[in-house]
Amino acid sequence: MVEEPAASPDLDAVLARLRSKVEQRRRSGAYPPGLEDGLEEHFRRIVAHRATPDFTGLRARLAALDERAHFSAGRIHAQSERPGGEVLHRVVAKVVARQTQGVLDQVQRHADGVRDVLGGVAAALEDPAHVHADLVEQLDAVLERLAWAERRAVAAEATAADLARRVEQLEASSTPAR
Amino acid sequence: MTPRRFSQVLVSASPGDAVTNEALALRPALRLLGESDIFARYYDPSLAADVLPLDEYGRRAPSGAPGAADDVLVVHGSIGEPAVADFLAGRPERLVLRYHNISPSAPFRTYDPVFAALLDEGRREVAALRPRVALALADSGFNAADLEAMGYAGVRVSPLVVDPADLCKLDSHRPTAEHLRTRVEGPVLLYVGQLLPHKRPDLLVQAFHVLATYVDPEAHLILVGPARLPGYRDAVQHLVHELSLPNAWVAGPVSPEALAAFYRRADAFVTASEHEGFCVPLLEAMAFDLPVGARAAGAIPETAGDAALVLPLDAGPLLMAEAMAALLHDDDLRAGLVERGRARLATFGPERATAAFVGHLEELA
Repeated sequence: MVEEPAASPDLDAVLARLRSKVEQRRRSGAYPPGLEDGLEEHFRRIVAHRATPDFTGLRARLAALDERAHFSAGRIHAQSERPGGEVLHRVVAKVVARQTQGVLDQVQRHADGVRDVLGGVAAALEDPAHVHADLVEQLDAVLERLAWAERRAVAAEATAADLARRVEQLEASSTPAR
Repeated sequence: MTPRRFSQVLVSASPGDAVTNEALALRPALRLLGESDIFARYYDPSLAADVLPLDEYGRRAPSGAPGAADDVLVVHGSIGEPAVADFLAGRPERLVLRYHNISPSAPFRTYDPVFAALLDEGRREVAALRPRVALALADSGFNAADLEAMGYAGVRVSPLVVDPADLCKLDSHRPTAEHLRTRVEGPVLLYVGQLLPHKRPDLLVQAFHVLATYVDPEAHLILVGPARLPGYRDAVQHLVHELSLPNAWVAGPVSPEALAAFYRRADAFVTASEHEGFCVPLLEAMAFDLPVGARAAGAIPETAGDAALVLPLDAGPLLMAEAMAALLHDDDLRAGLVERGRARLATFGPERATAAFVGHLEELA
Protein backbone atom coordinates (compact mmCIF):
# COMPACT_ATOMS: atom_id res chain seq x y z
CA MET A 1 0.00 0.00 0.00
CA VAL A 2 1.35 3.39 -0.95
CA GLU A 3 1.57 5.76 1.98
CA GLU A 4 -0.22 9.05 1.43
CA PRO A 5 2.06 12.06 1.78
CA ALA A 6 1.32 14.38 4.71
CA ALA A 7 -0.90 17.28 3.83
CA SER A 8 1.39 19.91 2.35
CA PRO A 9 1.22 23.29 4.04
CA ASP A 10 -0.05 26.16 1.97
CA LEU A 11 2.82 28.53 2.70
CA ASP A 12 0.96 31.58 1.39
CA ALA A 13 -1.86 30.84 3.81
CA VAL A 14 0.66 30.34 6.63
CA LEU A 15 2.26 33.67 5.84
CA ALA A 16 -1.13 35.40 5.77
CA ARG A 17 -1.95 33.85 9.15
CA LEU A 18 1.36 35.04 10.63
CA ARG A 19 0.76 38.57 9.38
CA SER A 20 -2.68 38.50 10.88
CA LYS A 21 -1.29 37.39 14.25
CA VAL A 22 1.19 40.26 14.22
CA GLU A 23 -1.66 42.69 13.56
CA GLN A 24 -3.77 41.20 16.34
CA ARG A 25 -0.94 41.53 18.86
CA ARG A 26 -0.29 45.08 17.72
CA ARG A 27 -3.95 46.02 18.08
CA SER A 28 -4.33 44.37 21.45
CA GLY A 29 -1.32 46.27 22.76
CA ALA A 30 0.63 43.06 23.40
CA TYR A 31 3.41 44.56 21.30
CA PRO A 32 4.33 48.01 22.61
CA PRO A 33 4.12 50.76 19.99
CA GLY A 34 7.39 51.31 18.10
CA LEU A 35 8.81 47.95 19.19
CA GLU A 36 10.45 47.13 15.83
CA ASP A 37 11.91 50.59 15.32
CA GLY A 38 13.13 50.61 18.91
CA LEU A 39 14.99 47.34 18.42
CA GLU A 40 16.64 48.51 15.23
CA GLU A 41 17.61 51.80 16.84
CA HIS A 42 18.92 49.88 19.82
CA PHE A 43 21.33 47.91 17.62
CA ARG A 44 22.39 51.04 15.72
CA ARG A 45 23.38 52.62 19.05
CA ILE A 46 25.47 49.60 19.95
CA VAL A 47 27.18 49.60 16.56
CA ALA A 48 27.83 53.34 16.53
CA HIS A 49 30.86 53.21 18.78
CA ARG A 50 32.22 49.96 17.39
CA ALA A 51 32.74 51.23 13.86
CA THR A 52 36.24 51.02 12.43
CA PRO A 53 37.39 54.32 10.92
CA ASP A 54 38.45 54.28 7.29
CA PHE A 55 42.23 54.69 7.13
CA THR A 56 42.63 54.28 3.38
CA GLY A 57 43.06 58.06 2.88
CA LEU A 58 45.73 58.23 5.59
CA ARG A 59 47.60 55.30 4.05
CA ALA A 60 47.51 56.93 0.61
CA ARG A 61 48.94 60.15 2.03
CA LEU A 62 51.67 58.26 3.86
CA ALA A 63 52.59 56.46 0.64
CA ALA A 64 52.76 59.80 -1.19
CA LEU A 65 55.02 61.14 1.57
CA ASP A 66 57.27 58.09 1.20
CA GLU A 67 57.80 58.84 -2.45
CA ARG A 68 58.98 62.38 -1.63
CA ALA A 69 61.22 61.39 1.27
CA HIS A 70 64.48 60.80 -0.59
CA PHE A 71 66.77 63.85 -0.77
CA SER A 72 69.58 64.29 -3.26
CA ALA A 73 71.83 67.15 -4.34
CA GLY A 74 71.37 65.91 -7.91
CA ARG A 75 67.77 67.13 -7.81
CA ILE A 76 68.80 70.75 -7.11
CA HIS A 77 68.51 72.34 -10.52
CA ALA A 78 71.24 74.67 -11.82
CA GLN A 79 69.31 76.30 -14.65
CA SER A 80 69.48 80.08 -14.93
CA GLU A 81 68.06 82.69 -17.30
CA ARG A 82 71.19 84.84 -17.02
CA PRO A 83 74.16 84.28 -19.33
CA GLY A 84 76.69 82.03 -17.63
CA GLY A 85 74.32 81.61 -14.69
CA GLU A 86 74.06 77.83 -15.06
CA VAL A 87 77.86 77.44 -15.09
CA LEU A 88 78.11 79.64 -12.02
CA HIS A 89 75.47 77.55 -10.16
CA ARG A 90 77.32 74.34 -11.02
CA VAL A 91 80.58 75.78 -9.74
CA VAL A 92 78.97 76.97 -6.51
CA ALA A 93 77.27 73.57 -6.10
CA LYS A 94 80.63 71.89 -6.48
CA VAL A 95 82.32 74.24 -4.03
CA VAL A 96 79.69 73.68 -1.33
CA ALA A 97 78.95 70.04 -2.23
CA ARG A 98 80.32 68.73 1.04
CA GLN A 99 78.18 71.13 3.13
CA THR A 100 75.07 70.52 0.98
CA GLN A 101 75.48 66.76 1.33
CA GLY A 102 75.93 67.17 5.09
CA VAL A 103 72.67 69.10 5.37
CA LEU A 104 70.85 66.59 3.13
CA ASP A 105 72.10 63.66 5.24
CA GLN A 106 70.76 65.30 8.38
CA VAL A 107 67.42 66.07 6.74
CA GLN A 108 67.24 62.51 5.36
CA ARG A 109 67.87 61.02 8.80
CA HIS A 110 65.19 63.28 10.28
CA ALA A 111 62.72 62.44 7.50
CA ASP A 112 63.37 58.71 7.94
CA GLY A 113 62.71 59.09 11.67
CA VAL A 114 59.49 61.04 11.09
CA ARG A 115 58.35 58.48 8.53
CA ASP A 116 58.95 55.63 10.99
CA VAL A 117 57.02 57.45 13.71
CA LEU A 118 54.08 58.22 11.38
CA GLY A 119 54.04 54.61 10.18
CA GLY A 120 53.97 53.45 13.81
CA VAL A 121 51.14 55.84 14.70
CA ALA A 122 49.12 54.75 11.65
CA ALA A 123 49.65 51.07 12.48
CA ALA A 124 48.61 51.66 16.10
CA LEU A 125 45.45 53.46 14.96
CA GLU A 126 44.59 50.64 12.58
CA ASP A 127 45.25 47.93 15.13
CA PRO A 128 41.88 46.36 16.00
CA ALA A 129 43.09 46.31 19.61
CA HIS A 130 43.28 50.10 19.51
CA VAL A 131 39.97 50.57 21.24
CA HIS A 132 39.45 52.34 24.49
CA ALA A 133 37.94 49.27 26.08
CA ASP A 134 37.22 51.02 29.37
CA LEU A 135 35.37 53.85 27.60
CA VAL A 136 33.42 51.44 25.41
CA GLU A 137 32.34 49.54 28.51
CA GLN A 138 31.31 52.73 30.30
CA LEU A 139 29.43 53.87 27.22
CA ASP A 140 27.72 50.49 26.97
CA ALA A 141 26.68 50.74 30.61
CA VAL A 142 25.22 54.22 30.07
CA LEU A 143 23.40 53.11 26.91
CA GLU A 144 22.09 50.06 28.69
CA ARG A 145 20.58 52.20 31.46
CA LEU A 146 19.19 54.61 28.87
CA ALA A 147 17.60 51.76 26.94
CA TRP A 148 16.15 50.42 30.19
CA ALA A 149 14.68 53.82 30.98
CA GLU A 150 13.27 54.08 27.45
CA ARG A 151 11.71 50.65 27.73
CA ARG A 152 10.20 51.61 31.10
CA ALA A 153 8.77 54.77 29.57
CA VAL A 154 7.25 52.88 26.64
CA ALA A 155 5.92 50.19 28.99
CA ALA A 156 4.43 52.85 31.30
CA GLU A 157 2.68 54.50 28.34
CA ALA A 158 1.26 51.18 27.23
CA THR A 159 0.15 50.37 30.78
CA ALA A 160 -1.50 53.77 31.13
CA ALA A 161 -3.31 53.29 27.82
CA ASP A 162 -4.39 49.84 28.88
CA LEU A 163 -5.66 51.13 32.23
CA ALA A 164 -7.56 53.96 30.54
CA ARG A 165 -9.15 51.45 28.17
CA ARG A 166 -10.17 49.20 31.06
CA VAL A 167 -11.61 52.11 33.05
CA GLU A 168 -13.64 53.12 30.00
CA GLN A 169 -14.90 49.58 29.62
CA LEU A 170 -15.76 49.44 33.31
CA GLU A 171 -17.57 52.73 33.15
CA ALA A 172 -19.49 51.66 30.08
CA SER A 173 -20.54 48.40 31.65
CA SER A 174 -21.50 49.95 35.00
CA THR A 175 -23.54 52.85 33.59
CA PRO A 176 -27.20 52.05 34.35
CA ALA A 177 -29.47 51.94 31.38
CA ARG A 178 -31.79 54.89 31.17
CA MET B 1 43.01 20.33 -29.21
CA THR B 2 41.82 18.37 -26.20
CA PRO B 3 42.89 19.86 -22.88
CA ARG B 4 45.26 17.79 -20.78
CA ARG B 5 44.91 19.72 -17.56
CA PHE B 6 41.81 20.82 -15.70
CA SER B 7 43.29 22.60 -12.68
CA GLN B 8 41.27 24.51 -10.10
CA VAL B 9 42.32 27.84 -8.62
CA LEU B 10 40.97 29.26 -5.36
CA VAL B 11 41.85 32.42 -3.49
CA SER B 12 41.72 30.58 -0.19
CA ALA B 13 40.98 27.07 0.95
CA SER B 14 39.87 26.10 4.40
CA PRO B 15 38.19 23.03 5.93
CA GLY B 16 34.42 23.13 5.95
CA ASP B 17 34.26 26.02 3.48
CA ALA B 18 31.62 25.37 0.80
CA VAL B 19 33.88 26.52 -2.08
CA THR B 20 36.77 24.35 -0.89
CA ASN B 21 34.41 21.41 -0.44
CA GLU B 22 33.19 21.81 -3.99
CA ALA B 23 36.74 21.92 -5.38
CA LEU B 24 37.58 18.74 -3.48
CA ALA B 25 34.38 17.04 -4.63
CA LEU B 26 35.01 17.98 -8.29
CA ARG B 27 38.63 16.82 -8.36
CA PRO B 28 38.02 13.06 -8.87
CA ALA B 29 35.72 13.76 -11.83
CA LEU B 30 38.19 16.24 -13.34
CA ARG B 31 40.98 13.71 -12.97
CA LEU B 32 39.04 11.38 -15.25
CA LEU B 33 39.37 14.11 -17.91
CA GLY B 34 43.05 14.85 -17.40
CA GLU B 35 45.58 16.04 -14.85
CA SER B 36 43.84 17.98 -12.11
CA ASP B 37 45.02 19.59 -8.92
CA ILE B 38 43.77 22.35 -6.65
CA PHE B 39 45.86 25.50 -6.23
CA ALA B 40 45.19 28.26 -3.72
CA ARG B 41 46.80 31.56 -2.81
CA TYR B 42 46.06 30.91 0.85
CA TYR B 43 45.23 27.60 2.42
CA ASP B 44 44.85 26.06 5.82
CA PRO B 45 47.86 23.85 6.66
CA SER B 46 45.50 20.97 7.41
CA LEU B 47 44.73 20.88 3.67
CA ALA B 48 48.38 20.62 2.58
CA ALA B 49 47.82 17.10 1.26
CA ASP B 50 45.01 18.26 -1.03
CA VAL B 51 45.82 21.85 -1.97
CA LEU B 52 48.99 23.19 -3.60
CA PRO B 53 50.33 26.73 -3.33
CA LEU B 54 49.44 28.87 -6.32
CA ASP B 55 53.15 29.53 -7.00
CA GLU B 56 53.55 25.85 -7.66
CA TYR B 57 51.30 25.96 -10.74
CA GLY B 58 53.83 27.74 -12.92
CA ARG B 59 56.50 25.17 -12.07
CA ARG B 60 54.20 22.28 -12.96
CA ALA B 61 52.71 23.91 -16.04
CA PRO B 62 55.12 26.41 -17.64
CA SER B 63 53.09 28.94 -19.57
CA GLY B 64 55.18 28.42 -22.71
CA ALA B 65 54.73 24.64 -22.72
CA PRO B 66 53.16 23.18 -25.88
CA GLY B 67 49.40 22.82 -25.52
CA ALA B 68 49.20 25.07 -22.46
CA ALA B 69 46.72 27.34 -24.22
CA ASP B 70 44.35 24.39 -24.66
CA ASP B 71 44.35 23.49 -20.99
CA VAL B 72 41.62 24.68 -18.61
CA LEU B 73 41.81 26.62 -15.39
CA VAL B 74 38.65 26.47 -13.30
CA VAL B 75 38.73 29.67 -11.27
CA HIS B 76 36.47 29.73 -8.21
CA GLY B 77 35.35 33.34 -7.73
CA SER B 78 34.25 34.30 -4.22
CA ILE B 79 36.48 37.18 -3.12
CA GLY B 80 39.08 39.53 -4.58
CA GLU B 81 42.81 38.88 -4.48
CA PRO B 82 45.25 40.91 -6.60
CA ALA B 83 47.85 38.11 -6.59
CA VAL B 84 45.37 35.69 -8.16
CA ALA B 85 44.29 38.33 -10.71
CA ASP B 86 47.96 38.88 -11.65
CA PHE B 87 48.53 35.14 -11.89
CA LEU B 88 45.56 34.69 -14.22
CA ALA B 89 46.62 37.65 -16.37
CA GLY B 90 49.90 35.87 -17.10
CA ARG B 91 48.44 32.48 -17.97
CA PRO B 92 47.54 31.25 -21.47
CA GLU B 93 44.99 28.58 -20.41
CA ARG B 94 41.29 28.84 -21.15
CA LEU B 95 39.46 30.06 -18.08
CA VAL B 96 36.27 28.62 -16.65
CA LEU B 97 34.84 30.96 -14.06
CA ARG B 98 32.98 29.13 -11.31
CA TYR B 99 31.10 31.97 -9.67
CA HIS B 100 29.97 31.62 -6.06
CA ASN B 101 29.17 35.31 -5.61
CA ILE B 102 31.08 38.10 -3.96
CA SER B 103 29.34 39.66 -0.97
CA PRO B 104 28.25 43.30 -1.29
CA SER B 105 30.72 45.60 0.42
CA ALA B 106 28.28 48.12 1.92
CA PRO B 107 27.40 46.16 5.10
CA PHE B 108 31.11 45.75 5.86
CA ARG B 109 32.22 49.37 5.55
CA THR B 110 31.29 50.25 9.11
CA TYR B 111 33.25 47.38 10.60
CA ASP B 112 36.21 46.78 8.26
CA PRO B 113 36.77 49.27 5.43
CA VAL B 114 39.83 47.33 4.21
CA PHE B 115 37.82 44.13 3.80
CA ALA B 116 35.03 46.11 2.15
CA ALA B 117 37.57 47.46 -0.35
CA LEU B 118 38.75 43.90 -1.01
CA LEU B 119 35.19 42.88 -1.87
CA ASP B 120 34.84 45.82 -4.26
CA GLU B 121 38.16 44.91 -5.83
CA GLY B 122 36.93 41.33 -6.17
CA ARG B 123 33.97 42.45 -8.24
CA ARG B 124 36.26 44.59 -10.41
CA GLU B 125 38.56 41.59 -10.92
CA VAL B 126 35.65 39.34 -11.95
CA ALA B 127 34.44 42.00 -14.40
CA ALA B 128 37.96 42.48 -15.80
CA LEU B 129 38.33 38.74 -16.35
CA ARG B 130 35.36 38.61 -18.70
CA PRO B 131 37.26 38.75 -22.05
CA ARG B 132 39.42 35.83 -20.94
CA VAL B 133 36.62 33.59 -19.70
CA ALA B 134 35.64 30.80 -22.09
CA LEU B 135 32.82 29.54 -19.91
CA ALA B 136 31.04 31.08 -16.92
CA LEU B 137 29.30 28.69 -14.55
CA ALA B 138 27.22 30.11 -11.70
CA ASP B 139 25.98 27.88 -8.92
CA SER B 140 22.59 29.60 -8.75
CA GLY B 141 20.35 31.65 -10.98
CA PHE B 142 20.90 34.57 -8.62
CA ASN B 143 24.66 34.36 -9.15
CA ALA B 144 24.17 34.02 -12.91
CA ALA B 145 22.19 37.26 -12.90
CA ASP B 146 24.95 38.89 -10.86
CA LEU B 147 27.53 37.87 -13.49
CA GLU B 148 25.31 39.12 -16.30
CA ALA B 149 25.07 42.45 -14.52
CA MET B 150 28.88 42.56 -14.74
CA GLY B 151 28.72 42.15 -18.52
CA TYR B 152 28.98 38.37 -18.88
CA ALA B 153 26.88 36.65 -21.53
CA GLY B 154 25.87 33.02 -21.90
CA VAL B 155 26.28 32.26 -18.20
CA ARG B 156 25.23 28.69 -17.36
CA VAL B 157 23.74 27.64 -14.05
CA SER B 158 25.37 24.50 -12.69
CA PRO B 159 24.31 23.54 -9.16
CA LEU B 160 26.81 23.64 -6.34
CA VAL B 161 28.44 20.26 -5.81
CA VAL B 162 27.51 19.65 -2.22
CA ASP B 163 26.42 16.70 -0.15
CA PRO B 164 24.50 18.12 2.81
CA ALA B 165 24.00 14.59 4.12
CA ASP B 166 27.76 14.32 4.80
CA LEU B 167 27.27 15.96 8.20
CA CYS B 168 24.54 13.48 9.12
CA LYS B 169 27.08 10.68 8.81
CA LEU B 170 29.22 12.16 11.59
CA ASP B 171 28.89 11.25 15.23
CA SER B 172 28.03 14.22 17.43
CA HIS B 173 30.81 15.81 19.44
CA ARG B 174 30.02 14.23 22.79
CA PRO B 175 30.73 17.16 25.17
CA THR B 176 28.65 19.47 22.96
CA ALA B 177 25.81 16.99 22.74
CA GLU B 178 25.94 16.49 26.50
CA HIS B 179 25.91 20.21 27.15
CA LEU B 180 22.94 20.67 24.85
CA ARG B 181 21.12 17.73 26.44
CA THR B 182 21.61 18.83 30.03
CA ARG B 183 21.77 22.63 29.84
CA VAL B 184 19.38 23.60 27.07
CA GLU B 185 15.77 22.97 27.96
CA GLY B 186 12.99 24.05 25.65
CA PRO B 187 12.64 24.41 21.90
CA VAL B 188 15.80 25.41 20.01
CA LEU B 189 16.11 27.63 16.96
CA LEU B 190 19.44 27.24 15.18
CA TYR B 191 21.28 29.58 12.84
CA VAL B 192 24.37 28.29 11.05
CA GLY B 193 26.48 30.63 8.98
CA GLN B 194 29.14 33.25 9.23
CA LEU B 195 28.47 35.94 11.82
CA LEU B 196 28.67 38.77 9.31
CA PRO B 197 26.58 41.93 8.83
CA HIS B 198 24.92 40.85 5.56
CA LYS B 199 23.75 37.61 7.20
CA ARG B 200 21.86 39.74 9.74
CA PRO B 201 22.21 37.63 12.90
CA ASP B 202 21.47 40.92 14.69
CA LEU B 203 17.98 40.89 13.15
CA LEU B 204 17.60 37.27 14.21
CA VAL B 205 18.41 38.30 17.78
CA GLN B 206 15.85 41.10 17.59
CA ALA B 207 13.20 38.66 16.36
CA PHE B 208 14.18 36.23 19.08
CA HIS B 209 13.77 39.00 21.65
CA VAL B 210 10.18 39.46 20.46
CA LEU B 211 9.59 35.70 20.52
CA ALA B 212 11.05 35.19 23.99
CA THR B 213 9.42 38.28 25.51
CA TYR B 214 5.92 38.12 24.05
CA VAL B 215 5.32 34.66 22.60
CA ASP B 216 7.48 31.80 23.88
CA PRO B 217 9.75 32.48 26.86
CA GLU B 218 11.06 28.90 26.82
CA ALA B 219 12.58 29.15 23.34
CA HIS B 220 16.34 29.17 22.68
CA LEU B 221 18.35 30.66 19.85
CA ILE B 222 21.82 29.36 19.03
CA LEU B 223 24.05 31.11 16.50
CA VAL B 224 26.82 28.88 15.14
CA GLY B 225 29.56 30.04 12.78
CA PRO B 226 32.79 31.98 12.55
CA ALA B 227 32.97 35.76 13.00
CA ARG B 228 35.42 37.49 10.70
CA LEU B 229 34.71 40.93 12.16
CA PRO B 230 35.36 41.16 15.91
CA GLY B 231 33.52 44.49 16.14
CA TYR B 232 30.34 43.05 14.64
CA ARG B 233 30.47 39.91 16.76
CA ASP B 234 30.97 42.10 19.83
CA ALA B 235 27.94 44.19 18.85
CA VAL B 236 25.70 41.13 18.37
CA GLN B 237 26.88 39.68 21.67
CA HIS B 238 26.21 43.00 23.35
CA LEU B 239 22.71 43.15 21.87
CA VAL B 240 22.02 39.72 23.37
CA HIS B 241 23.27 40.93 26.73
CA GLU B 242 21.45 44.25 26.63
CA LEU B 243 18.14 42.68 25.67
CA SER B 244 18.58 40.27 28.58
CA LEU B 245 18.30 37.10 26.54
CA PRO B 246 19.82 34.29 28.60
CA ASN B 247 18.43 31.75 26.11
CA ALA B 248 20.36 33.23 23.17
CA TRP B 249 23.82 31.78 22.65
CA VAL B 250 26.47 33.02 20.22
CA ALA B 251 28.42 29.76 20.00
CA GLY B 252 30.96 30.83 17.34
CA PRO B 253 32.88 28.47 15.07
CA VAL B 254 32.66 24.75 15.82
CA SER B 255 34.00 21.47 14.46
CA PRO B 256 31.86 19.46 12.00
CA GLU B 257 31.11 16.95 14.79
CA ALA B 258 29.94 19.73 17.11
CA LEU B 259 27.87 21.21 14.26
CA ALA B 260 26.20 17.83 13.84
CA ALA B 261 25.37 17.92 17.58
CA PHE B 262 23.76 21.37 17.21
CA TYR B 263 21.71 20.27 14.21
CA ARG B 264 20.55 17.15 16.08
CA ARG B 265 19.46 19.17 19.12
CA ALA B 266 17.71 21.92 17.14
CA ASP B 267 13.97 22.04 16.52
CA ALA B 268 14.08 24.48 13.61
CA PHE B 269 16.58 26.34 11.43
CA VAL B 270 16.26 30.08 10.92
CA THR B 271 18.17 32.76 9.06
CA ALA B 272 17.49 36.46 8.51
CA SER B 273 20.21 36.83 5.87
CA GLU B 274 19.79 39.57 3.26
CA HIS B 275 22.35 38.20 0.79
CA GLU B 276 23.08 34.59 -0.14
CA GLY B 277 24.73 33.25 -3.28
CA PHE B 278 23.48 29.73 -2.51
CA CYS B 279 23.12 29.04 1.27
CA VAL B 280 24.31 25.51 2.01
CA PRO B 281 23.06 25.49 5.66
CA LEU B 282 19.45 25.45 4.39
CA LEU B 283 20.14 22.07 2.82
CA GLU B 284 22.11 20.82 5.82
CA ALA B 285 19.15 21.65 8.05
CA MET B 286 16.83 19.77 5.69
CA ALA B 287 19.20 16.80 5.85
CA PHE B 288 18.71 16.81 9.63
CA ASP B 289 14.91 16.92 9.17
CA LEU B 290 14.58 20.44 10.50
CA PRO B 291 11.88 22.83 9.30
CA VAL B 292 13.50 25.90 7.79
CA GLY B 293 12.58 29.59 7.96
CA ALA B 294 14.30 32.35 6.01
CA ARG B 295 13.78 35.63 4.21
CA ALA B 296 13.61 35.81 0.41
CA ALA B 297 17.17 37.06 -0.03
CA GLY B 298 19.47 36.32 -2.98
CA ALA B 299 19.47 32.66 -3.91
CA ILE B 300 17.47 31.50 -0.87
CA PRO B 301 14.12 31.07 -2.70
CA GLU B 302 15.70 28.95 -5.44
CA THR B 303 17.81 26.86 -3.05
CA ALA B 304 14.94 26.25 -0.64
CA GLY B 305 12.25 25.84 -3.27
CA ASP B 306 8.92 25.14 -1.57
CA ALA B 307 10.63 23.39 1.34
CA ALA B 308 11.06 26.41 3.59
CA LEU B 309 8.89 29.07 5.11
CA VAL B 310 10.27 31.99 3.13
CA LEU B 311 9.27 35.40 4.41
CA PRO B 312 9.46 38.57 2.32
CA LEU B 313 12.85 40.27 2.37
CA ASP B 314 11.43 43.21 4.30
CA ALA B 315 10.12 41.00 7.11
CA GLY B 316 10.98 42.57 10.44
CA PRO B 317 11.37 41.16 13.95
CA LEU B 318 7.62 40.86 14.61
CA LEU B 319 6.77 38.75 11.56
CA MET B 320 9.95 36.76 12.03
CA ALA B 321 9.06 36.06 15.65
CA GLU B 322 5.65 34.71 14.60
CA ALA B 323 7.37 32.57 11.97
CA MET B 324 9.78 31.26 14.61
CA ALA B 325 6.84 30.32 16.84
CA ALA B 326 5.11 28.55 13.96
CA LEU B 327 8.28 26.65 13.03
CA LEU B 328 8.57 25.46 16.63
CA HIS B 329 4.95 24.71 17.48
CA ASP B 330 2.80 24.26 14.37
CA ASP B 331 3.04 20.50 13.96
CA ASP B 332 1.38 20.41 10.53
CA LEU B 333 3.70 23.07 9.20
CA ARG B 334 6.74 21.33 10.69
CA ALA B 335 5.81 17.92 9.26
CA GLY B 336 5.05 19.38 5.85
CA LEU B 337 8.31 21.31 5.65
CA VAL B 338 10.39 18.33 6.78
CA GLU B 339 8.81 16.15 4.14
CA ARG B 340 9.34 18.76 1.45
CA GLY B 341 12.90 19.22 2.68
CA ARG B 342 13.65 15.55 2.05
CA ALA B 343 12.27 15.84 -1.48
CA ARG B 344 14.22 19.05 -2.05
CA LEU B 345 17.47 17.43 -0.96
CA ALA B 346 17.05 14.71 -3.53
CA THR B 347 17.37 17.36 -6.26
CA PHE B 348 20.81 18.40 -4.96
CA GLY B 349 22.64 15.08 -5.26
CA PRO B 350 26.40 15.65 -5.59
CA GLU B 351 26.71 13.04 -8.36
CA ARG B 352 24.13 14.83 -10.48
CA ALA B 353 25.73 18.23 -9.83
CA THR B 354 29.20 16.88 -10.68
CA ALA B 355 27.92 15.33 -13.89
CA ALA B 356 26.32 18.62 -14.88
CA PHE B 357 29.54 20.52 -14.17
CA VAL B 358 31.69 18.05 -16.13
CA GLY B 359 29.18 18.10 -18.98
CA HIS B 360 29.68 21.86 -19.29
CA LEU B 361 33.47 21.42 -19.28
CA GLU B 362 33.31 18.78 -22.00
CA GLU B 363 31.73 21.34 -24.28
CA LEU B 364 35.08 23.08 -24.25
CA ALA B 365 36.96 20.04 -25.53
